Amino acid sequence: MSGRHTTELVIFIVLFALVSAMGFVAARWRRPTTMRSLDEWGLGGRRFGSWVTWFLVGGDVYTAYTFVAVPALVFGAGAAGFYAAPYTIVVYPLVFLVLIRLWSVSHVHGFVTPADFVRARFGSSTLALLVAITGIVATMPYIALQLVGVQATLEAMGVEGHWPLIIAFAILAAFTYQSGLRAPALIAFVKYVLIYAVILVAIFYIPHKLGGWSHIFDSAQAKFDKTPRRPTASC
Amino acid sequence: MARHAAAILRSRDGRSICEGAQWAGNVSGPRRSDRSPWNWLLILPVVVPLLTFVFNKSTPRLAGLPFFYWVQFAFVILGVGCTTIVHLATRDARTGSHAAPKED
Repeated sequence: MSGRHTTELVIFIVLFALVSAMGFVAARWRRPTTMRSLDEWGLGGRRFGSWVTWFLVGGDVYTAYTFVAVPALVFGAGAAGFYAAPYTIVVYPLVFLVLIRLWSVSHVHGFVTPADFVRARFGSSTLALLVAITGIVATMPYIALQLVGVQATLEAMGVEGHWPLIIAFAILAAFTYQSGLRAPALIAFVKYVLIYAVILVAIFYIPHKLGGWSHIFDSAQAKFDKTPRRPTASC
Repeated sequence: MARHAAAILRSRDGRSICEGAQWAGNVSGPRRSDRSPWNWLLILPVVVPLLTFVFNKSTPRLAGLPFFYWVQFAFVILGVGCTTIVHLATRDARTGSHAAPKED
């Protein structure tokens, strides 16, 4: 651990401490009478309005996957990562069409998970179980991807080994266990500030430092023109 | 959807989950409130970003950004715009007699 990474480490530790503290404090946010109910733990007591939900969804959609995995895929494999841009545009109108009905039906009948909805809608506990299992299994690669993202961030700061990752994940799991959905909802406010900082720096500051968008893309084009093309048949 | 209306299902507490719920075409009840021709407008932002041949080019540039990149930012505005129009145009119908419960 050389002195070169001191700034990064200090910023990381301060933010990690802030986010962890908020995660634990979140249990007392909007004071639930008890946390021993799935409505309180999993849905924040169903009391999140449009604004909190907006922050929560944004904070959950734009993650290490967006900031580390997709750029890495585009950098390494090129057009294979292109899907990530149109799909985030296409998905919102579709979600708008379907989720309003899903939400209003679930609200009326007090459903917590998609499995609750499926069991009531189709009258099949087996189907509900399959939906629940699919949901958990499908989340696993996504969580793995987040861990890879955290690991990459730690390695960029010169922190090696598995222990820092395990400690970070244990703290995250602990405050999620204690606060439920309130934790990511409260942390989402911090995430938004960080996400917008990254976006503004990436769109304005970095191009300014590198001589403008024209110069960046012209240089990239010149580099590609000089690079011999791989035979199209090879994979 | 209408044929599901006949198959009334029971939730755990025995209430019919088709009552008041908006998913089935309630034959006897009021007209389903979220059905609107405005919804067809959503096809635009769903289909256009998938037509890659439309934006598979680098000119014209905008502030130095090739067409391929800035037009996808424009698609975000298209998506938000269309969704906003549909939301505003269908909101009155949704908050009518067959209303979805309001958030607190």
